Amino acid sequence: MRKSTLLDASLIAQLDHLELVVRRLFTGRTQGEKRSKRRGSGSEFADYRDYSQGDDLRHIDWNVYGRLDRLFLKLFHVEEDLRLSLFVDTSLSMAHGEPSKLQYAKKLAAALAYVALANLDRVTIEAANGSSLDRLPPTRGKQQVWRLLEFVEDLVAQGTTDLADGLRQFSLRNDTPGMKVVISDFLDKRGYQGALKWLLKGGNEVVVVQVLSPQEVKPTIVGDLSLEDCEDGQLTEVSITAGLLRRYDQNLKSLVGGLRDYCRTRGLAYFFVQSSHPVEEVILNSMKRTGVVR
Amino acid sequence: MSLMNPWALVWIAAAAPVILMYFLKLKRKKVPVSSTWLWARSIQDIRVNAPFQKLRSSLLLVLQVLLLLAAVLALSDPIGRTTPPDERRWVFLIDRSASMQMKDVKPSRLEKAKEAAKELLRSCGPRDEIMIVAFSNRAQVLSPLTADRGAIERAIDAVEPADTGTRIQEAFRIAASAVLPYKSRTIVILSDGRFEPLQTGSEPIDLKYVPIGGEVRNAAVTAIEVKRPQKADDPYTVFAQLDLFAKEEIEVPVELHVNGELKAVKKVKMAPNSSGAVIFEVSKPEPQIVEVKIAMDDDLDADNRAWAVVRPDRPRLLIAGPGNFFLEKALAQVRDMDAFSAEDFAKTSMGDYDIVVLHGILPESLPEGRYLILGELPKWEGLKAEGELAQPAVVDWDRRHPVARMVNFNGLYVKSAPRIALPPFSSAVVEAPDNVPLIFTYEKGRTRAVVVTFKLLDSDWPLRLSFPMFLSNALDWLRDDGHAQARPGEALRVRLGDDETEVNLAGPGGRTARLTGESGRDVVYGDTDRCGLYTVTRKKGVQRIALNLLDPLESKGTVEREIKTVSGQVTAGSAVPPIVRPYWRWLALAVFALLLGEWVIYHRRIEI
Repeated sequence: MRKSTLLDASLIAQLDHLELVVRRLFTGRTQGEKRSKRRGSGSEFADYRDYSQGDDLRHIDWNVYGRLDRLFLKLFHVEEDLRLSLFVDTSLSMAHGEPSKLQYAKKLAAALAYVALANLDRVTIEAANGSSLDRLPPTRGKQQVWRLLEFVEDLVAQGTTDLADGLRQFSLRNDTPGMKVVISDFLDKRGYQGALKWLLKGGNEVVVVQVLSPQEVKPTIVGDLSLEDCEDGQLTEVSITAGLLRRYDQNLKSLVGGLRDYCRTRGLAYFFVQSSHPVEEVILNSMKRTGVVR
Repeated sequence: MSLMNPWALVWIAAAAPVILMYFLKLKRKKVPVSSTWLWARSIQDIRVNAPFQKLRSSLLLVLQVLLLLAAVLALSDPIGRTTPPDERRWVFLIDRSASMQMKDVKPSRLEKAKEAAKELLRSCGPRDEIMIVAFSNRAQVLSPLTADRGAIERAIDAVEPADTGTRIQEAFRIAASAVLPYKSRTIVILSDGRFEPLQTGSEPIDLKYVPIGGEVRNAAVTAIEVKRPQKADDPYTVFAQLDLFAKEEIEVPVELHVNGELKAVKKVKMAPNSSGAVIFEVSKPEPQIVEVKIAMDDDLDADNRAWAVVRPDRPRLLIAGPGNFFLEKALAQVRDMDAFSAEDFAKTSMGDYDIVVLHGILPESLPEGRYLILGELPKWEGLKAEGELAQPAVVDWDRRHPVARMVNFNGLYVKSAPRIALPPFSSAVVEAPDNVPLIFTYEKGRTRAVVVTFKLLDSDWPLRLSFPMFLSNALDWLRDDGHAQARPGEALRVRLGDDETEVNLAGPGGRTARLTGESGRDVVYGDTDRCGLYTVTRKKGVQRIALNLLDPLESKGTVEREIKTVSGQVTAGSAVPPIVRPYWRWLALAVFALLLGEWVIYHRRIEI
C-alpha cells in the first residue's frame, strides 16, 4: 500500500466507518448508496401508484392485484450516489501559518473525499485561486483513492484570493445538486458574501470550513513593522501595541462571527478551525456532532 | 541652584537629531503575513477611535527628549547649596608631614590629599575665596584668600612633602586669623590626623576633617647611635632601634653603611607592631658617617634610612663641686673624654669646656653650654621647688630617652626630692608621683642640661649599677652636637668660624646654599624638610650634619578617624565634606527611570 502524507492508516480506519449525511434528498446520476428523490428500482419500498400503459410489468404488485383485482405498481426509492464537490482555496495566503493552512486544507479535503469514495459517492475537487484552477473530474469508487490523494497532494499555493469568481465558476461547473464543501481562510479583501451566495442556489448541502493559522488568531509579532501582504505585496506599517492587538482581535472576531452568522441564517454548515487542530478531531467530533458525517 | 558646568547645556543640541530621526521614516522590519487586510482595518479603527492618537504616538519621542534633557542637566552638574548663597571663605590645611608620604593609598597620601583638595575646590561656589596652607612641623601659606581658581590649583600642586613631624597649631592659627573677619568660613583639614589636639579659640569656626590614608605596612629606624669604644682597639658599636608597623611578621633586612660603603647586612625578624634593636660593630675604618638602612619596600621611605655623624675630637669635661667618690669613680670610666676637675671653680672659665658637671655647686648664672647638674636646681624660668617630696618612688621613666637607655630605675630609693613642676624646654626622664620629675633634660638655644633634682648622697643611687650607666648616657647625650642630629624641618644653625664669613652647604636632593654672616656668629639655614646628610664645607674642612626623621609617631602612620580639640570638641572625618549638594545623581536616576519607562512602554505594549 502506498503511503500518503495526507491520510495515515489510523485515520483511514476511522474514516472507513463514516459516511456523509445529507439532510435533503438529491437526484443522483448513478446508482449508489444514497436514497434519491427519484422512485425506481431501489431496494427500499417507497409507494404505490396506478398502473398505466407502458409501465414495466415487473414492478406490478401481484399480491395487491390478487386481493383488490387492480393493477398497482410498486415504487421503490432509487438509491443513488451523492455528489461531493470540494472547493479548496489555494491562494498564497493559504500557504501561510505554522502549521500551514494549505496542508491542513488538503488533509481535510482528502479525508472528506475519502469518506465519500468509501461510500460509493461521486467526488470532484477543485482547487482555485485568482490565477489558476486545478480540477479533479468526478471520481467514484474506492479504487480511485490514490488518484485523488495524488491530486490533492500536488496542489500548490499561488496567486491571489478571488473567492467570488472561484465559487461562481465552481457552482456553475458543479450544478448537480449535492454536498458542496468550501475550505478557505476567507481572508478576501472583497468579503465573503459575494462569494458564498453562489452556493446558495440549487438547494445544495453546503459546508463552509474556515481555516486560520494560530499566528493569525493570536499574532506573536512585536515592534515597529512593515507588514507585507503575501498575495499582492501591499505594505501596511504598524507599531504593535496592546491596543492594536486588541483591535485586531476584535476585527478577527467580527470576521469569524459574521461568517458564522451568515452561514447559520442561510442553512450552511460552518466550521472554524485552526491549522494546529488535528484533522481527525474536526471530522470525528465537530462534523459528526453537527451531522455532516455519520 | 547653579550649574557647575554650564557648557554641557550645549548638548541640548543633540535633541535635534533625536526629533529628526523620529520624523524620518522609521526603518521598519518587513514581516510577511497572509493578509494585511485585518491589520489595515485595525489601524483604521484606531485612527478613527483615538482623537489624541497623534499626541499619544509621540509619547516615546517625549520620553526620549525628556531623557536627553535630564542627561544634559546631569552633565551640566547643577548644585544646590546647603549653605546660604553668600560667598564663603575656605582654608584648606594640607598636611605634608612625613607620614603623608605613605604609599598605603596610591600614589601617596599627599597626592590623595591634593586630589581631595581639588575636588573640594570644584564644589566651592564661584565667588568663594580659598586659602591654601600646608603644614608639617610648621606652617606654610601657599596661597592667600583668593577666588582665582588657577592660582589655587597651582598652590595645591605646589605642596611638597616634608620629612618632618606634624604640628598643626601654627597653621590653624594662621588659617583662623585669615578667615576670622568673615561671617561664613570653613577650615578643612586634609590630613592623616596625627597631630596634637587643636586649640580652636573662642570664635566658632566651621571645621571639617578629611582623613586620608589606609592600612600601613612600614618599617622604620627610630633611633641611631654610635658608641665609641672604651678601649682604643675595641670596635665602635652602632645601635639602631627599629619599629615595625604592620599586621604581619616581617623579616626586615638592615644594612650598615660606613663612610658610604656597605659594611654589613642583618636580618631582623620582627613581630607585628613591635620594636627591636639591631647592633653592629665597626672596627675599621674609623667611622665618620654611619648609615643604617632598611632595604625593604614599605609605605614610607623617609624613615628607612638614618645617619649618624661621629665626631672625631675628644670633648673636654669639667667636674665642679665637692669631691664625691662614686661620681669620680664613675666618671673615670668615661674613656673618650678628657676630664678636668675644677680646683678653684670661681676662677675657672666654663666656656673652655664642652661639658660641665655641677655637683653640689651652682654658679649665679649659667652661660650657654652643656651641663650635668646633680642635686641642684638652676634658676631657670618656671623651675621652683615647692616643698619637699619625702621618699618619692619612681613611677615611670622615659625608656626612649637617650639618657635613660638601658638604665633601670626600678627600686631606686630617694630620701627626699624637691617638689617641682616640669619647667619649659624640658622633658621628664624619671618621674615620681604627681608627675614630679626626679631627673629631666633641658634644651634651650645652645644650652643642654641633664638635671638630677635630688642629692646623690640622699639616695642609694650611687651604689646601683644604673648610676654609671646613666652618667655615661647623660654625657653622651650632652656631648652630642645637637646639630649633628638635628631634626628635619628645624632650622640648621651653623656657627661660622672666627676667620670665616661664609660657608657652602649641600643637602640631599641636590640642594646647595651659600651661607654668609658675621664671623663667630650663627647662620641659619631653613630648607631642611628632607632627611639626609647636610654637608657644610668650610675653609678648615667639612662638617656633616645628619637629619633623621626618627619619629615613631610619623612612622606609625595610623589614620585618625576624628580629630579632637583641646576643649574636647570632636570633628569626625568625612570623605568629602558636604559643601554643596550635587543634583546630577538624581538626574542620572531620572535618566535611568525614563529609560526604563521607555523600555516598558515599548515592550509591554502599553496602550497608545
